[in-house]
Amino acid sequence: MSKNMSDKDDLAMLFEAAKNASPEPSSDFMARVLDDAQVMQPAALGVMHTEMPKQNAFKDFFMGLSDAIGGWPAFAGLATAAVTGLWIGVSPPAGLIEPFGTVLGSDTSALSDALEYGEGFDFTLFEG
Amino acid sequence: MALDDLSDVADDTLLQLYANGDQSAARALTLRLAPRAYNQAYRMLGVQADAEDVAQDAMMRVWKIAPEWRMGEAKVTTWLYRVVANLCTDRLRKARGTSLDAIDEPVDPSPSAADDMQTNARHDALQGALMELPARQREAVVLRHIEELPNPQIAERMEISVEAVESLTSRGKRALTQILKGRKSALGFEGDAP
Repeated sequence: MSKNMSDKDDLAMLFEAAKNASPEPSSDFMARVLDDAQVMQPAALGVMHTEMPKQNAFKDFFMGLSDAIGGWPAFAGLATAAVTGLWIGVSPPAGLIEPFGTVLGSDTSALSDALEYGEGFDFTLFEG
Repeated sequence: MALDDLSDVADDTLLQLYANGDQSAARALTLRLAPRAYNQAYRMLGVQADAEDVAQDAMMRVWKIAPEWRMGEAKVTTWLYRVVANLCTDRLRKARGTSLDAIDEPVDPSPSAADDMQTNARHDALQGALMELPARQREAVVLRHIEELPNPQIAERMEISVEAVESLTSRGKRALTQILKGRKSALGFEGDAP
């Protein structure tokens, strides 16, 4: 009986020693596992899901506009026309064109002649 | 998120954070789960290099399953335990037929003091004796007497009944006692006997 008790005590002592001496993994092993984790992490996908819709919407708007007016060369023409129009409006070149009022003066018969809308027509007809 | 902030975060939440691209979750899971997987594998295989291979393989499965993990359905540690146990069983099955004598060799052959030598000798003797048990007995004994898990939890992990756990641990301890009997002098237990 006491022999059996001793064997049990010895075994308990070994178990106790094993509990206190858990094998430590090597730092190389831990580095390999962490490396695997980073390589396999679906990080990029997670970030793109939250940010991509904004970028796509912005990009899609300009791509759609570009396609509608004939591509990027059309943007250049559009910009040039807009700048030219603005410049002519601000500072019209001398002698290029006279404003309508200056050409026609106050005599509207010249306009009716030019447009040939006939006798008896009067601009007052449009007035209520 | 700082690593310190994750110490109280549940395993399955960490898995979700990992799947969402949180790099600190990857580090926290590695520090939390990899040593546990390694310890279990070492107890079952008795060889450091094999234990590291199995534990790394098991952790690869953790990273793979993270995006599909369903919160609250299973405990990550229980799932990981089963993965490691299955990988160890496969490896032991493949290695069957090779000599077990090599496993009894001390892992560290150069201890500096007599106490360390005896501690190492006891540790190695127990590990060697455990390796002579059938795999299921070894698993049950390690969980009960080294990991100190209660029988119902062992039953859950091993997917057997509590009665089967009791039977396995009881037979395992008897076998260990027999195996270790012949090594008492080497372990410094000789003077303890009446």
